[in-house]
Amino acid sequence: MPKRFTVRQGYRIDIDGAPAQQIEDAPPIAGAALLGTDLGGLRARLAVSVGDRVAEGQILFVDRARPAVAFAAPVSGEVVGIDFGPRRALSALRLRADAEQPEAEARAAAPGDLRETLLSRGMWPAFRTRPFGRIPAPDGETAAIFVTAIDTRPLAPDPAVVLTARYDDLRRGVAALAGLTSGPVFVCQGPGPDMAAGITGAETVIFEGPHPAGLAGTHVHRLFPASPDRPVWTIGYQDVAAIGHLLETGCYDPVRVVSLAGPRARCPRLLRTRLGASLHDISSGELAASPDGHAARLVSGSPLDGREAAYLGRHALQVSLLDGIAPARSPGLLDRLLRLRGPAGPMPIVPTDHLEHALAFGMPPVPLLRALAVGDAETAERLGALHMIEEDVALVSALCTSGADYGALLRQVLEDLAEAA
Amino acid sequence: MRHIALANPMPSGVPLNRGWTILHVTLIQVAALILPFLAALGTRGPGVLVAGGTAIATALVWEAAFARARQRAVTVHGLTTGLIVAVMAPAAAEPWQIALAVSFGAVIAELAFGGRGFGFVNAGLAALAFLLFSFPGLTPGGASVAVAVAALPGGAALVMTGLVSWRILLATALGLIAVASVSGMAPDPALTAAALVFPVIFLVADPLGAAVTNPGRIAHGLLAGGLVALFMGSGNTAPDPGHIVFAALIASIFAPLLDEIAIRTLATLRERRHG
Repeated sequence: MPKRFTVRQGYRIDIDGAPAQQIEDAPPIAGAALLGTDLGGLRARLAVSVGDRVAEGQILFVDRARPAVAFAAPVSGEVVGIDFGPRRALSALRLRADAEQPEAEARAAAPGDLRETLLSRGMWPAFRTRPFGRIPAPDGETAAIFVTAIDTRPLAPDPAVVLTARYDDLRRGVAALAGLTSGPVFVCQGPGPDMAAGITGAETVIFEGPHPAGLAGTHVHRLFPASPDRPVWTIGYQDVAAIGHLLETGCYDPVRVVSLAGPRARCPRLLRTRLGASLHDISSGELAASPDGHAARLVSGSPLDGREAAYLGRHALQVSLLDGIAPARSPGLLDRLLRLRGPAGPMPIVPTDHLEHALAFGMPPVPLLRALAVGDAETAERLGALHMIEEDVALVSALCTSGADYGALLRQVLEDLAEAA
Repeated sequence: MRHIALANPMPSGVPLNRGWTILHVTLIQVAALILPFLAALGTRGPGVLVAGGTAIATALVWEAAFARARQRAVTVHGLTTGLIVAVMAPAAAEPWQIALAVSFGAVIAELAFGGRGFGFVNAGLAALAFLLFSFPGLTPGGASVAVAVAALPGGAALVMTGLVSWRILLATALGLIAVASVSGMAPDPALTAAALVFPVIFLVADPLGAAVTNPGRIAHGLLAGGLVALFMGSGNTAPDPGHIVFAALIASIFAPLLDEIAIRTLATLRERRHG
């Protein structure tokens, strides 16, 4: 019998536009991109230039600091733009997709060396380390690998539905991951049939409860607390299936099933599309009119921890269509007389009881939020910041009166801690 | 199951739960304070209205002055300060005494730190402590059954909205009972409850003046309750609101220390568990 954990913290998050858990093929996309926001300030050594034709799965660039880590094209088409941000960090590499996507070309995977295969075929960036949430070093060792096969975010696709047709790929991928670590491979899933039954080196763990029961951070904290001396890697279920597909067929698999949902989705459902897909292409014709004339916002990721974006993020499995923000009313006479409006200044944290249920890391949230708000890395570390990444604090950002983006604050603290480590 | 409705996620990707800010917190607290204020008005007469008007006006004037000096939007958090002082202020207090006390409370406990939510002691509590310290001989009001009963619906609403921790309420009662029984006191249960309900809900358990970790909250309540019993001494059958004000003040001052102890203990336990 697999281990079972019931997460008592957390919230059921109510938001309109839950997706029908049925998968359809999305219409072909015209554009796709690899985004710097997913790469954490990576500086690229480019293998292509603007105007080049690329095939699906072709390597577009490698990390200049760690050239073994390669990034692959999610579509066949043409490179139309390469943008750089501060310090020559890659900001976006944009592709125009061909209308007809040819069958992917199989390249025989070198037998034996799994690590080499994953690195050279662009699957390595699917892994993220704990602590710090970065792409692991090519020669890095991990004490355990966590496969996240449960999703409790609002409006998320149900992994069991997505995996129905990809069960063999997933199991093949899990079996392969066991060869990457001397430690265990935990397959964290919701209640249901045991996905990793009988795979040597893998262990199924069942998590139940409201969000954040489905976040990798919650799983790592319960099963195998990570530290800089003992890092673990996490990977999403669709990426594991893509690894299984790569090992079986020799083809890079950029196809992902995402939910297209939210209050402004005309027909919320699951769509089969590609990594880095243009959100405008995915959502064209899918927007419901707003009753009060608001513009819509395209969000890569869930309404809780997503970001407004033009392209699907590397780890996002959701496209959320949300109402835009209402334009601010112009100040009235009373406002002007009393100066009721104006810069409010920094907003305080009110330590409500709600916050206590929003973090599932066994440490009190309010002192952590205060430490993050002032950038006190040492205190934040003492309060468990190393166990978290941005998605883990999205719920406290939603509940806190300060309106602060604790994800961004946490990232800053993690960068400080990584530099010190 | 707990659930939240996600109304309008912000453009940065930060969603806001119902868009709650410190202003909403204040408005909820004001709503919870209106019934006790009316009860005090009904039992003690128009003096409460004068005290309340003076207190609210003083607090809001200081708040507006600070907002202007800092070029920020004007806030109205002084409403709660004023209402708390109005309910608890001694009947014999002159308006100038109340104005002075509220000035001290609002400026020193709140505005000097940057406004509501940045200090560590409730402004109303600081004002009442100032009033009782500076003008000995004044006996605070508030100890009436009507006020206690009127505070209950608001208190329940604050617990439900998470703005008052039930742990603090429970621990305060336990602390008082424990110290009273150890030292052989025999307080009158009904009178004690009547005296305690309002100040415990609005002063001891104020989220902005209390401990912020769950173990810290329990310690905070135990400390406050124990101190009430200590100050009360064996001669009285029920605590004087003055006893409660000073107990709440000391508990509030010790709250950050209690939190720190709680955090260190939790961190040590975690290290021991995970190696």
